[in-house]
Amino acid sequence: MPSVETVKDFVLQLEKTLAARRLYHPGNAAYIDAGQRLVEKCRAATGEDGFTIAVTSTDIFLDKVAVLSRPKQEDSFFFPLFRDGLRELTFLPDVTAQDLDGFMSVLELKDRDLGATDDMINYLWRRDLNTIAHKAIDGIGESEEDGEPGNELHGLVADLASQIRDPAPPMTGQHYAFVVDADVRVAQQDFQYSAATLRRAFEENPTVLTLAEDEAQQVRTELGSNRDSVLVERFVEILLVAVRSPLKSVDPNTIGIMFQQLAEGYWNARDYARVTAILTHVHAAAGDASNPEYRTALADVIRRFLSTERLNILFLDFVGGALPPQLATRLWDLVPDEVVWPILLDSWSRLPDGETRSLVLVALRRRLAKNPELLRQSLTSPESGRVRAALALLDDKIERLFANDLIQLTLHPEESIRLKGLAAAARLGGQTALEALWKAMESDESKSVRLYAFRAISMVKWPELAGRLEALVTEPSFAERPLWEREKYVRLLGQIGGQDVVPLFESWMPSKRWMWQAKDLEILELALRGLGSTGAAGYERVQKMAISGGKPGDVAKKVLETLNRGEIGDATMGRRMPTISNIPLPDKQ
Amino acid sequence: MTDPTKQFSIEGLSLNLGGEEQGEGPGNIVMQTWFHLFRTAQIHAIDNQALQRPIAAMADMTNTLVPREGRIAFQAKDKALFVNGSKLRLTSDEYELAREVFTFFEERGIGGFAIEAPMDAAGVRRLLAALIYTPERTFEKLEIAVKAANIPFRLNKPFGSGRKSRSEVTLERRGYTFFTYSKLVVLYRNLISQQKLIASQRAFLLKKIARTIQALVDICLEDDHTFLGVSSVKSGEAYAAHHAANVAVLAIALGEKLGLSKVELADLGMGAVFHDVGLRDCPAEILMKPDPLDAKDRSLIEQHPMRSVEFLLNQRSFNRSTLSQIVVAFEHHRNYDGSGYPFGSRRPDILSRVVTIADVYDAMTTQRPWRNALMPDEALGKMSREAGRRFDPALIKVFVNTLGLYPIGTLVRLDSGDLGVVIYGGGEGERLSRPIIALIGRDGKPGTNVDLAERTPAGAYRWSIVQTEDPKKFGLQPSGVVATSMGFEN
Repeated sequence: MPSVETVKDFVLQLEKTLAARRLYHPGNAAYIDAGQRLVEKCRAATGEDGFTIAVTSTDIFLDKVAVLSRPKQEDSFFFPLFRDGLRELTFLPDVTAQDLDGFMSVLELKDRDLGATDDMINYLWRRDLNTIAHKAIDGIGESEEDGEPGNELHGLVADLASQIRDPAPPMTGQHYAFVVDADVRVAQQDFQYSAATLRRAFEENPTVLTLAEDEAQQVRTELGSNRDSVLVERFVEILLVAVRSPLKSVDPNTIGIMFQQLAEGYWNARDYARVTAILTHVHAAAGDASNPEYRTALADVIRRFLSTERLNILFLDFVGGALPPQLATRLWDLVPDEVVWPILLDSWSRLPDGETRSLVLVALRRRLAKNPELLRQSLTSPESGRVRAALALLDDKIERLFANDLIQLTLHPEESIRLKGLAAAARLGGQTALEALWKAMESDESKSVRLYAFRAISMVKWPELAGRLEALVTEPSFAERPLWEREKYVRLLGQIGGQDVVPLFESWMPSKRWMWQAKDLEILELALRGLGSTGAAGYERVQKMAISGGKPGDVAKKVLETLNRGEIGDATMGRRMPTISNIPLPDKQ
Repeated sequence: MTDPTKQFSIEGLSLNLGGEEQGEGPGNIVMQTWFHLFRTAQIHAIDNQALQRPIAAMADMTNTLVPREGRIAFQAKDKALFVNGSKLRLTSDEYELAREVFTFFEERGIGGFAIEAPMDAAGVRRLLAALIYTPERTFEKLEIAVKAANIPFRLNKPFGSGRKSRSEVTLERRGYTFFTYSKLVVLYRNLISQQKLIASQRAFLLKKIARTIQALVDICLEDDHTFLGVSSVKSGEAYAAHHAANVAVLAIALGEKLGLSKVELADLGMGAVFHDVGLRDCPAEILMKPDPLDAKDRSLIEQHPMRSVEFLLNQRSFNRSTLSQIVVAFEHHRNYDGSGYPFGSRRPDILSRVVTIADVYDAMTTQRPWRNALMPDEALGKMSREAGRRFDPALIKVFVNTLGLYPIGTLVRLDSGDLGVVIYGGGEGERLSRPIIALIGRDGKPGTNVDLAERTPAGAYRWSIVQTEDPKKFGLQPSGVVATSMGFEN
């Protein structure tokens, strides 16, 4: 017989262990220590005979001696068990740590943890403890007071029990033959035949009712491993049938949350195959469920589950190899293009060359073929990286589809993108492209952009160009531009204006013979550069001036030298005109 | 605002969880070694050569396992065996061994044993001398003998011995079985008879149904024959509730034969109870229609699996048990070959196949407004013919083994000319075709019980069945006979 003191020690330790378990993680030393103490104290109390404690709403008794008193329900760890019907607990000798742990896990439960069909006692029973027994009442025919809930059922149970003992005689009257299922109708005689046949078969060979080894193995296999997975898979199938029903008998949000939780479960298990499978089904149902509320709820599941953050994680796993390409592709297909496109595009641009990058490129191109608008949105994105990635995705075949967007890039705040826009404009041609080139050449803040635009524009045939250049070089602010720029514009004007612009350059030449100022020499040089570019006559005129000597002659000589050198230089540059494909991306430089 | 994801939880699901260890674990070795030892010792004397190998095996086992595990605690409980607290999963070959171990323990009032330290062959011989080679059959005397042998071996009492279960305290076990069955019928009837139960009422009924199913599982594990007796209860009234309870009882009994664990049996029982709950949405005039159903009626009827699923889904609380219930409710009209409804080619889950068998058997053997009830043996015969198409052939075999060729409640005529109702049948060996019968007196009340397995001194069977009879011819209701003869006197 255990002593009151040892049992008291044990129930106090129950309380302490519960507190430790609620406070600490199972791996924590305090948690483990509390569990060990509980086992020690329980074994000390059970001895060779075990012991039984009685549970009331406020006390725990050992043989009518109170070993623990907790008058306030909120302070009592045993009240929830009492409330649900527990009246006695028996701890057997050899009580195992495993059973004590199972018992504690029941004590830990809060009401909110209990399912619709569960209470504490149901849970305790399900723990199937071998060395801890419990005795509980259920309030129906097993209650102590008439006022307990459910007692009104007791009378009904008693009535029914008496009917069972003394049932009414069977009715007679067959209306039609017994129907086992929709299509099969069998007469009564057949059943007697079947019964006799079964018995005869058994008498002739009793093994007909013995399971063959393969049958037994099949049953064992089905009941063995993966039961949870099997149940969940079937449950998913059922949910999908439910959502395809035209009736809305299950709350769409409930269905949605169930799918979400199932997908989360597989996600946590990193079972991407099942995540993909379940989401694919949900996606399909979101499209073809007949009830619009189901469609909305299911679409929400996909939207919530495949969030941008999760897609980014999936992408990382895809790159790392944890998510197989075929699953990744299927998952991406479940997400609206406008959501997945930027993720794929941004990531693709950062991937090194190789199979993964190619796979993503295929995914991008597939979407692009379906919806060119995606690339347009990326080209106009405020994020420079995305614009650069979109530019990298372009090729000659599809470039024209995005001509306007590409030309618009000549106005992009980032210089490297403006350059690419100019390159595209130069290739695309047309009035808008030329206007963009002109504008860049005329007014871009960056020297390199202006220079690039100049080179591009100098290589196109544009009837308006001469007039525009003439207007540019004659406007008062032209003098404020750097000399090199002015020289280039003037030479270009000379080249394309020819004899028509000779008078203009002639008019620039200072008429003085002496007292040359630096400014006069600068204007003379510009005029001679222009003149020298207008053709053979203009060139001869510069040559003559070079021979004539004096300061103008020196200027003319200098112009002649650079004219020759410059022509060669511009031609070389023309061959090296950057295009979208040969300008390296900044992040790959 | 409430977080919608916290409205319910799918807890207890361990995806891809493997099953329990089965077969050749240390626990199975303990069981096999113990079996071979006592079985051989019961046949041979202690110095017989045949016994030396089991003795050495026992000594080896203790020398190997005790140092590693600390001790060996071997315990029988609820038709299951536990070694150091872990339940053994038995292979088909081991079932027979396990049954003999149970019998050995039961005959001696033993619950199990514990080996605290390694034993040598001499120690094992002293154990056999104390335990086997003795006329004693009571726990107390055997315990004294084992203690006197001075070996590190201790006998344990049966689990829960000395404390009567509630059923034993308040009612006789059989009475308690019928009473629990009645409780299930009443609870289910209350649940389905009110379309608009408030949430708390509904939760109350669901919890009590779960508790009642657990009680039925306990009863089944204690005594499956008494348990099966209640499945013969038929009632013209409240068919749906009786049917639900009967299907639960039959499914649990069949599941127990398949080796399901206690918790799995409870899940199966819950699935069986709620398999037809969707029929509560179906108009009574269709359910009780005495004429054949037209296409529209059939369509309504065929919606009931989905309606049952909806009822269960609306509990908004999910664990393995509810998933089982939902799967069973959805699939119980799908046939083994994939036909049936709701449409789908997949073979039903094994729990659904169990419930299908229980469902059809109970439906066939119950009087309905449009047809007479079949006799139990006729129903079994008919179902056997449908094995492989509608029913799982392996499960049908197990089902026939569970009920016997003459299931409880069958009215039979004996070669003596007497009429009797089967009150105990099924199981292995001759019991399969030779049940225990309650003879019916001239007043229509059950009288003497006769065991058809009983033989005359010459070795012939004393009584045999010549044919089954239709109870309607005699105005008998076999379930009343079964209830009375099994001592149900609530």
